[in-house]
Amino acid sequence: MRATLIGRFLLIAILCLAALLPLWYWASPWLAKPPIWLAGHAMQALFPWVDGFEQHGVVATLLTKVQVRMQRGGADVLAELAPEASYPSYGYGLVLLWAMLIASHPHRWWLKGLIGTVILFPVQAWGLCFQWLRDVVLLSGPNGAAYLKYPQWAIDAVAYGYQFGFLMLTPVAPIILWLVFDKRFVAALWLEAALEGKPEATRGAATPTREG
Amino acid sequence: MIRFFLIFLGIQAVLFGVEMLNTVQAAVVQPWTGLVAQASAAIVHLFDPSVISYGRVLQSAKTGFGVSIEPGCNGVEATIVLVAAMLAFPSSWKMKAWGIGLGFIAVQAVNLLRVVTLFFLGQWNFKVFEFAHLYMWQALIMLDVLVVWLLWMRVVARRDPAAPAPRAAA
Repeated sequence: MRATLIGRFLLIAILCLAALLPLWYWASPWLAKPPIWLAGHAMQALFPWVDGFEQHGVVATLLTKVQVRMQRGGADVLAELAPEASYPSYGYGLVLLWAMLIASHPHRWWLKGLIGTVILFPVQAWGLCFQWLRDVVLLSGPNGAAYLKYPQWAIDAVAYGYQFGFLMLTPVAPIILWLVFDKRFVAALWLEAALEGKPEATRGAATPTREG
Repeated sequence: MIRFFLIFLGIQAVLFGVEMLNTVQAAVVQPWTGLVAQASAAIVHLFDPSVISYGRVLQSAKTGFGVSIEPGCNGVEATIVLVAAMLAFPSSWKMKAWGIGLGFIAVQAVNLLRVVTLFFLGQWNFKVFEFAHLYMWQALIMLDVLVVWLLWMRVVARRDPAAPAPRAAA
């Protein structure tokens, strides 16, 4: 019964998640370096209002020329916007990928894990970029909007890109990678289920009332 | 396999775009999130009678601790991923309809478990709550979606002889 194989996969994946997540969190300041570097350079290349970026632990700060009005010591002052984004919010998919690879154990799983780790860097960078963009484009108020002069469609695109990156891309990307890395797992499940179902399908074919 | 992934990503992107529309949020997502809060409160009430729910918030009248069910915590996005995966996979419409119906229930059941466990975790230790909320449960919900899809795919293989088999890489 292949349901046992799925059950075993799920159990090991959950145990690996529980074991690897604290380890990943501890290593996050180092794991955050490539996606933050990628996100920072992408933003610098694409937007003229970006001045640079900094990393403090797992937090990435974007330095911008966008000025916003704020209260300081009772006075109204102009300050440059420096939005922050946290790597772990977009990085946990890495643990999910490794947990699934350990659970299904495909050929050279460790190499696939390393390749997957590198492939996930741009996905994590997407999340960081769009969180910065959301803070600058959507949350900077009238001063920010006046400085940027972005059309409504661009503002909507930033909102969509941020939500899609945070809620969809981050958790789904490791699943897609796992499916690509372990096609045999899915194919074996299919084959065995098809063979189990063959007598049933044959019986069904002889019965006129059965729907395909 | 490439065709499956392209269709899957396309459907997912469109459904997510539809979910983000203000009218859909007001007519479907927000009322649904309210229902999730009420259902969670009913389950928590079995262990803690002091719990109350209003709107999207679940709160303990005893400790004052409350959780607000926000986008990403109402199971809607996980359901969208599952629906996109089932629609993209070659199978009959009847199998897709059954899969989406039962899969929706399975995903929402695990999501209720997420909300309830987070509510209790938050009252015990806020750091553990944050860790479980932001990383552990996010990954677990997606793992749940994957397992539901794999189980559905087995049923398709058994009962839908017309569906083409997925190919393994050499």
